[in-house]
Amino acid sequence: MLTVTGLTRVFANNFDAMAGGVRDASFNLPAGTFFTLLGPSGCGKTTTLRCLAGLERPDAGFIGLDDRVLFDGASGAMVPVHLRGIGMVFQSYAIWPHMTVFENIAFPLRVSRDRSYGREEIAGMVDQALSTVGLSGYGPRPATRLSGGQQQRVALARAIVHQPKLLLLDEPLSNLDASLREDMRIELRRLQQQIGITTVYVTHDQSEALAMSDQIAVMDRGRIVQLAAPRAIYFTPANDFVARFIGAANLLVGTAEARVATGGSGMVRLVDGIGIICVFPAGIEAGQPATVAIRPESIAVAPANGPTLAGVNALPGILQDASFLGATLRCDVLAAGQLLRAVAAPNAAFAPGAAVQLQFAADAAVVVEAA
Amino acid sequence: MTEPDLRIEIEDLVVNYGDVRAVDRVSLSVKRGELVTLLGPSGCGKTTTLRAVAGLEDPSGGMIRVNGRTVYSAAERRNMPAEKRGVSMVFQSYAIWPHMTVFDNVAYGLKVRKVGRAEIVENVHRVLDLVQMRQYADRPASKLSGGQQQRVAVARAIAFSPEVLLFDEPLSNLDAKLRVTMRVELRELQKRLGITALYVTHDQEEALAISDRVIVMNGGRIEQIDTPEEIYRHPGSLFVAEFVGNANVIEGQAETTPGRDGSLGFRTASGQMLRVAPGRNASGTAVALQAAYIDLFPPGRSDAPNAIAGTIHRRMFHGDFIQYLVDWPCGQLLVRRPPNDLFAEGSAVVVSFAPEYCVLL
Amino acid sequence: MRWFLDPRLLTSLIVGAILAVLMLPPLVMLVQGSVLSAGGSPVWTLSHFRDLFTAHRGLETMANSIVFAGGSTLLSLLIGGVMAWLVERTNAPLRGLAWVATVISLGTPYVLHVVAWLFLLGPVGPFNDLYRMLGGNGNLVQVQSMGGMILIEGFLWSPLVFLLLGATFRAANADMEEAARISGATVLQTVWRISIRLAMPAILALALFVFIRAIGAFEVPALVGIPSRIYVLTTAVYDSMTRMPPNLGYASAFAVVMVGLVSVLLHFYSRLSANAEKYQSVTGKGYRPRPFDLGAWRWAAGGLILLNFLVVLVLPLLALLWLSLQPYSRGFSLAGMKSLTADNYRAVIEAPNYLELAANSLIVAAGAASVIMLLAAFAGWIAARRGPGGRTLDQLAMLSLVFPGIVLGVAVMEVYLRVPLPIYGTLWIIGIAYVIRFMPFGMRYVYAGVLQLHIELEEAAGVAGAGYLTVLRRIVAPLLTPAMVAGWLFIFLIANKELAIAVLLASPGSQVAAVAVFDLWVNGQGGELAAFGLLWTVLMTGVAFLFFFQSRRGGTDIYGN
Repeated sequence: MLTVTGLTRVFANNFDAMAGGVRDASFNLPAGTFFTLLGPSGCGKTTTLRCLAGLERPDAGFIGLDDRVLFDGASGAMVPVHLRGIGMVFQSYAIWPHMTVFENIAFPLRVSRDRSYGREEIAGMVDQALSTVGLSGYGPRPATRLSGGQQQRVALARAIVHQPKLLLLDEPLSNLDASLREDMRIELRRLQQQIGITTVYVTHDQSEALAMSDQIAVMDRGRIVQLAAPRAIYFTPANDFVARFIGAANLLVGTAEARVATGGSGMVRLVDGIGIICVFPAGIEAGQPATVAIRPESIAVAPANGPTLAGVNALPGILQDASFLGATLRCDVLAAGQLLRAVAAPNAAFAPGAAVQLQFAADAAVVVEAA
Repeated sequence: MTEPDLRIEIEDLVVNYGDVRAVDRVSLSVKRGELVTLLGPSGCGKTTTLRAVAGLEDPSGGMIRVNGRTVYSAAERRNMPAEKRGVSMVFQSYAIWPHMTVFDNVAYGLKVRKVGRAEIVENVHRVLDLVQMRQYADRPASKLSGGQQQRVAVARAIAFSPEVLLFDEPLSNLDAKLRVTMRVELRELQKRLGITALYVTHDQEEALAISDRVIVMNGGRIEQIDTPEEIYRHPGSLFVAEFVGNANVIEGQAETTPGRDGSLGFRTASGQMLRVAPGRNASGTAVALQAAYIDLFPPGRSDAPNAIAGTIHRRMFHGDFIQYLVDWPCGQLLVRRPPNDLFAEGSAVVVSFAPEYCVLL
Repeated sequence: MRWFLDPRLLTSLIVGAILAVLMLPPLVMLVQGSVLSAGGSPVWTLSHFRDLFTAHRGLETMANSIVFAGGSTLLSLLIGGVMAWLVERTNAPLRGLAWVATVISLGTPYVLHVVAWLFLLGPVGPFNDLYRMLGGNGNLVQVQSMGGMILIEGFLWSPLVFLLLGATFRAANADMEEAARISGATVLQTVWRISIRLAMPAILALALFVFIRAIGAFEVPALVGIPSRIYVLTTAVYDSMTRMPPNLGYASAFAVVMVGLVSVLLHFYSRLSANAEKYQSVTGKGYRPRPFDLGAWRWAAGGLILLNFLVVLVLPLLALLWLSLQPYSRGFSLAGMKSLTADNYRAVIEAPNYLELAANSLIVAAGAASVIMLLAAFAGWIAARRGPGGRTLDQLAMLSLVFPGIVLGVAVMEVYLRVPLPIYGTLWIIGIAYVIRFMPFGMRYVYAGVLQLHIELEEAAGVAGAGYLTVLRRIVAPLLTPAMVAGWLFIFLIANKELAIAVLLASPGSQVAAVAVFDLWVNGQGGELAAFGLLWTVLMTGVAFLFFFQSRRGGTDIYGN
């Protein structure tokens, strides 16, 4: 169980205009959770991770792992990095070039202060770690003769060989080719579930975060703006920063027709007078402005004079462009005064300039807070 | 005989790096106004081919023609220097000159061509407007972000109105989200200005989204040249099937005589009988099936085409789609479904796919 | 109370204390000596400084220094720069010769080189002989002049400029230049408007660096300038120290002026090199540009490289060879061919004092190099990783850069005259002076070496459970070894090249090679000087080749770039 309360680490100055660091981050992770810190560069996710590792000293807050206090701002107690007993995979993998694969992985066991490991014990544990990451037999190989993907696995093996309680991963897939990345996502997640270790993962790639995590913390300029499961983040973003960051969201602006209770549904009148039925996770008063987020995949593109279905919103529009993406046809449609994105089946026959209607269910149109 | 409609022609191009053959007898052509993409993994020769067209690599054999002029020919011993070829290029690292302002960077090509001052200003402002960087004209180039540098690189490349534009993985250094926005902008720009473009990338989604035609390369050779739809639907080889999209490859043996509906029988290695589409020059020992073309039904559906029972092994939510790993008699199948199509892990399902989507390799 | 348990801080304090004890007293004593009057009961006085400008032609001396340094800087930049360009950026033939010339010059003491040139260009040397044979009157080349000084010093420094500029050109990124070509620029336009502009900050920084070294040069002003009565700051200091009685106050005043001048220049240098780094390419994927094809001009370029090789290397060595085989110093002539003798070599090999001399030099240099690399290892690592006290350690270690060699000699002498350690007049004081003088180089090597190691390699070890000393021992030390070895060899080599530090500190019982050569010259023993000098050069060149291959393998350039 990882407990983090009020974690703050702010940097004095930075070359960009944005202030770097993390402010007041809090989360509790049950054992075995795959937890992702997600956000654009500079949002504070890496700083948070490094505070967990002990590579940064927080300004304030509390970090506890099971029954150990790793950091307590109130008393000033801090466990130094080499005594925390956690595992970490760095973005550059940090494989030591002057050692073999075996020596790299055996290192945490050899320098361990908690207990000393015998030679045979070490050999056994290293072999076990190698087979877990699918690199059995690579022990004697010099570290300089590994491909990027192999280095990554060795880094992972090294991080788990001493059976730590916490695994930290700092954008470990960003240096890999697009196709390898997808394969490794599945691999990593499978491994993590197999070992059952609490994992904190940092990335800026939202589809990676959605695919792998049990819980996601979306971060913006040092603060956690939403902490929830992937489906919740995707379908009910807390504000328009999250909505825009997580995927191509269509954002429509309008006014609420009438008062709606928390979690209820009601009508939003758009700028050109058209009304759409949306859900209001936070409720609203009549006449208040509302920003509606709709996922492109939730919008179907139908011919303009086709049938409409009850309970389904239908926005008239003109098709501007259609891109073939293999599995789908991504359509840009001019509707309600702006360019909206929708998806159609790959063999749909829509030509640019065609009149269409955009159909989406009421519960796909979610009212979000402005960031 | 050269048709004036072909802007780039490459015949039997060979480029060697020491004893490694980086480009092995590649031939292709690009029509006026087309955007053709060279797609493949690192080391497949796509960048080397592009740079050979630019004049930045020294080939060992073959012929390259740009705008109807022979810029390289091994037979005629001709190798026109890069600055005379009339092509322009956007580099992967952008290569923006840090000691000049944005304006000077963009104006450089015009200045070297001895264009008049007034005309330079007009052109530079026009292209800066096109990439929405007009307000940064006087900024020193060393103070730009990655995305801004990229736009300046594009502006610089089109400032002197080239007819042929080369792109060397221009988006790979950008954040995931910016990549998607910028590729739409680049495509827009290319179509609006009618520029002929040769584009290099390793990202197959990017290639499919913006190209008129895609050329898949592997190991210095061309695997397939086709429109994005055709490459996706009818991969010509195992390599293309596995590289483009998310294809499942099922091994087995096809029959030789098609059935009444035109489909072919295919017996998988584990004994299932599938109906697949007849292939062209196919060996018949494998079938490629894109993950997005597979349907999932609750157990009991037997009337669906190629319906076979299986179990959901793993589910991964990707936001705009859900990816399933389904255990079925032939191993594991990757299936992509819209985000609301939910099946629990461990539940029994029926997979189904139309014969027209099973491409015989 | 918990803070000093941080082992890095503890190390920082210890190393810092050692550095402070080494670096600060000389500076303090120098300043003190310049404002205290001579004699039994010293009082504060500015009389030394006043005398500088009035009685001893201080202004003229300073002007000479600047003209000398400026001229030789320009000349060495020209020669070294052209060589560096031809070798690194073109397909000129015979490129290897430039490297051979550089390596051999690393093994040759400066004073030996100067002696060779004095002979070659001197009144009885082959140049003027040839001129007279062709019918000229008197001497074509008057080497005993400011022009002669600038020429020889320029030759002396061009190999090093070649190395440093070569590193800059090698680091050029291809795509900046390719982008220019694609935009329509010809090769020449690209070189002028892009390549050189991008390299300009680095070139300017280098020029300033060479200028600073030339201000502190001693060998040429001593051997060429003093007989011609052209004094620069360094020889003025030397002169006042070698009179009877030594005018310590005056020498110190001169020295303080030099230190002030060099400090100001160093300040500008560090600003310039910080700027230079901004223009280096930031994307890691850059690959090196293709060499320019010189076409028909290849042979002219090859000729230039050959000419450089002959002039800078072969001619002086041949001159020394000639001198070493003659019973007395005489010009090149056919008659001279008949009197070839191996007497000088016999004298050198058989006399016991030469062997002792060589051994002394090697031991002192090796000892100093070892102490420096040990201290620099800790100081450089802490500074490069921005550990506690890192900036102070960096500044302390680099402090001695403000001391030209001769000034350091004076300063060290002053310190250890007062300190009750029995090292004055022994090899130890020379060793300490070497440590002080060359610490900045060790620091640079370690600093650059550490920067090349990704910090995540150390962080990963920390996360894996290794404490600070274990990380240093098992991760940093093995990976830093190539840089350390290169640094050690470099310091070993240049310690043996320099005359200026040891010339004031050596005594009959504690001599090093460079001083011996100098003494031999002063005493007119050209033959033995040449014989000993050549043998010594052969030995040191062997070490220099070792250094060259080591730094090539390790990937670091000379001076830790």
